[in-house]
Amino acid sequence: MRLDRRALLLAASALPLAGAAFAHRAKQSITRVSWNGRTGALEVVHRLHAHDAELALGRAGMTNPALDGVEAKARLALMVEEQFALAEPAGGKPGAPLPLAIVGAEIDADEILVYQEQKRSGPPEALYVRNDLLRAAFPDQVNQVNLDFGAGTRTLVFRGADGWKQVALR
Amino acid sequence: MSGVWKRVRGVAALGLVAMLAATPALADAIQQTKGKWEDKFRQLEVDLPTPNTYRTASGAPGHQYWQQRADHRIRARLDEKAKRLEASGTIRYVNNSPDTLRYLWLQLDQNIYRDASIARMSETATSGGGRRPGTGLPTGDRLTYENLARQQIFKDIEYGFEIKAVADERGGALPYTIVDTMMRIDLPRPLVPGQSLTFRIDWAFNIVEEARIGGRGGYEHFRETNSDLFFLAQWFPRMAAYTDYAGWQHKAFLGRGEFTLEFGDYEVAIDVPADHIVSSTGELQNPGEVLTAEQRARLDRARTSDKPVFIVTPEEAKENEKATDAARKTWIFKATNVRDFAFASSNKFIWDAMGHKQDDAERPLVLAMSFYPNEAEPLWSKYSTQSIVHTMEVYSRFSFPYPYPTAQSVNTWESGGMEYPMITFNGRRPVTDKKTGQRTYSSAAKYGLIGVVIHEIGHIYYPMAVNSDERQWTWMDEGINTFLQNVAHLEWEENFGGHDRQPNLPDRIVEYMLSQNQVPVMTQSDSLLQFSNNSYQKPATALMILRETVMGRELFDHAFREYSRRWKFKRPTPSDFFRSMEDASGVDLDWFWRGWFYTTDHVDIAVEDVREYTISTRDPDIEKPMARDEEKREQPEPLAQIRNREEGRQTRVERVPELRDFYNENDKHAVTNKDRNSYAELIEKLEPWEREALERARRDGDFVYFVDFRNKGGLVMPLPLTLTFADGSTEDFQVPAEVWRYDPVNATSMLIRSRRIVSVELDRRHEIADADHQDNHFPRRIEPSRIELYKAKDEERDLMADMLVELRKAKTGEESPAEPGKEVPLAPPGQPAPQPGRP
Repeated sequence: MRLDRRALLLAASALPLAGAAFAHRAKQSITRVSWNGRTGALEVVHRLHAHDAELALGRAGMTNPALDGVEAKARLALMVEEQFALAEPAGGKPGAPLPLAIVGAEIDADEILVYQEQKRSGPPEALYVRNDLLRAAFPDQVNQVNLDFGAGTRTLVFRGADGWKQVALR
Repeated sequence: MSGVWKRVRGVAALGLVAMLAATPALADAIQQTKGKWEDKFRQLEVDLPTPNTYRTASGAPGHQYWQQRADHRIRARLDEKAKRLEASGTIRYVNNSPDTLRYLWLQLDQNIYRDASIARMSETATSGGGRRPGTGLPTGDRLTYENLARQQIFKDIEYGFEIKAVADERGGALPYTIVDTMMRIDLPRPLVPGQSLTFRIDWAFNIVEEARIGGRGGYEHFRETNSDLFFLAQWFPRMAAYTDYAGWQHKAFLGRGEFTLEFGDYEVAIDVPADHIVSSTGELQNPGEVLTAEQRARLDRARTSDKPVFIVTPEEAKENEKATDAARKTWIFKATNVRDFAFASSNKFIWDAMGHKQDDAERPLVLAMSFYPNEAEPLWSKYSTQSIVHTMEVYSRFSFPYPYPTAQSVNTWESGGMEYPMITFNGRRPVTDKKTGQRTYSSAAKYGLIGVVIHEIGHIYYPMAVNSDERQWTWMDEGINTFLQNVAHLEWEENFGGHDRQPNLPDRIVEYMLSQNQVPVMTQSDSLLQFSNNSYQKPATALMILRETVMGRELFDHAFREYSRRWKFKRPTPSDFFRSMEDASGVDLDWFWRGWFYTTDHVDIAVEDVREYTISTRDPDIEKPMARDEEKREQPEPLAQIRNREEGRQTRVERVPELRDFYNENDKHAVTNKDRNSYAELIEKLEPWEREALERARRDGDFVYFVDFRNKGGLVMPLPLTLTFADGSTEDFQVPAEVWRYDPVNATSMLIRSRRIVSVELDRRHEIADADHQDNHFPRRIEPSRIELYKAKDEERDLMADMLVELRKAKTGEESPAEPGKEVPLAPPGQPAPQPGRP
């Protein structure tokens, strides 16, 4: 056994707490990344439990995180911007994160949808994905990303301490 | 639009189709080794457990159905300062099984928090691989403040059951062995069928702080008021279930797969500080000793009130939590025929109650009650108890009258919920504005509370009364309950909490059903990936589709009620549900159970092609002029010719009539005698019935359409179709799923209509969870993406854009506020810690 005794950051979430999950409603999100050929945009749709998102905003210091309000929606969108990234591969590693623009956010029943997009000439061939959505607030948060650029859905799951993950799309 | 149609004029062959139905029976496969054909309609009987005298082939309890029974008498003492519970209890266990038992298994769920529990030892840290930029450390090696604090608590406090004694009725010690969260008691004499055994257990355990450790019970500490709220569940050794289909259900408690339990009667005495109010499974037996005269009078008023009445007001609760009374009181509760027992105790509780009358001779009145701290106001007094009553009204219609004397909702945490007989622990609280101290609640908190109360009270029907095996099958209680919860939502208020959109279950499950990392709904609870989607939303959506689209409300509701009544206070398995639903409705649903519960297929069906025909009369005097008209329609007149006419230019033939001959009078569509003769000959040769059919077709003048469907997703589903006619009118109808039985990938439906169809649309109302609506129209129509739809909402977008600009401006030069879970630098001795931050 090699002991890596260098500095260790106490990070967003290290262990899923067995038995710590709330009795109901596991902490989950689901994100769809797809190519819209009509508008020439890489579209990203995040689907989060609205109440979880409100709790996360509250824990991040926001006094009134009710997502009916436009400020809470915007703050959540900014949080998503920090916690989610796509990058094309560069030399076997994730390159610079794609500049995803926030399109907006809206409530859908008990979920909140956050939209991002990138205008570009065509869909990427391969992508790296990083998804830390709400994982700072909930150690047992599990985030799923479905990517589909026409060749069928590819799924990535982010839990625990997962960092960048790669997916080939063609 | 009609130009898009593939028009094929002529004889739509009126012929006989001889189907060769001589497929050899293959032993046991849905997918064959030759060819690609799949039997999506293969009957389930070969895969379901063989029916027996305990469970019949129709899904009902058999004539020798049995289940065990366990009656409990418990005295418990809550030490609120030490956060500890000490108790002693007797269990009377009745062996109704045909088997002789040499040992008994009990569940010790608090043991999940022990240092060596399977749950804690199997906690995993997954790593994304690669190195963290700037540190050179593996990305997996991270730790949160929360988890560090949790590990520190585990270091300081010993959790789990402390078993002080296990003894028989005469006090003789019984040998026992603890296996993780289970305990085996070896019996001095075998317990033969029909006999009962009474034994005593003394135990104690340290109560977990739920917010720090997690779990389904514990205590919540309120820092501002230095007060506590206790909510105790899985707090006593409970009998493991012994069943006809699994023997002892003693699969260890890992935190996810919930509980498999036996029914019995309970008498429980709970000794708590005198200022506490106790909410518990069962009915209070000694109100004279623990309630004031005023509280008892209010409780009487509540029974007949049509709105909630305070038993303890918010002001009284506020005073109560300040008091530090050293005295103690014992609350005694009795419960009949329950599978579990839980309670909550605190000096913080506001208490309201309201009577619910129901049409049931056995139980005409149920007392709906809520208990919550001031921190839950003003949300809870308005919605909690009303939601309990609403749940009973809706669920009873689908099953049986609410079977217990009380139904309670207790606020024990910020979010989430948990169910026990007659009592539920529920989340959702308002937020307090730090500046003004004012408490407000968001609409998400409001609808979240109503939703969670409906869900948890709903669980008192499923699985507290219809006692399914939760450890094994989460969907049987969660899926069924989430389905009824959604029914109750829409009966609470149209567009329940939907704000600007109708929440539509089929649309919302699509993204999950497209995912690659799925397991079938029929998977044991602890092995589920995507727990919520798999065992809540997907089965709930499936049942919604069964009710609204596949079976229709009348048949579904009848069959569902039958299932519920058959298995009230009994233990159903998945096959009992599948069989009952078919048995009572007369609808073969094996294809549906297979697709939705046994596979990970999704729904994606396309309308590939539509071809239009008319039936040829064969009569040249009718057909040839029609052909001429059609040719004219399809071949536009040359522009130059039109302009010539408009200029008044006469053609040579017009000017010199003698140039005309036979060909000027008769084009290729002219009817000749030869045509008429061969038509007469044709009619002559037809059988009389064939001649009548042709004559009828000539009178009707119908259009015949062949519509091709392609199943891209794999799940076979019925086809809800909308036809739009040339006159603008529409017709909705449904092709049953059986259209796929000969070919699960391609199907063609023939439609005969008297009016011309201009478009065909599949699943207009988004009812079958179709994943891609781009290919549901013929002719094709562009369906905007979710983002495109949002972009059309100009005002909403502009507000958002302005706010983003403002927030981004404010952010520069300001540190982001502290976040829980933020990274904390750890350094080995002698090395400086790096600055926290994420790459």
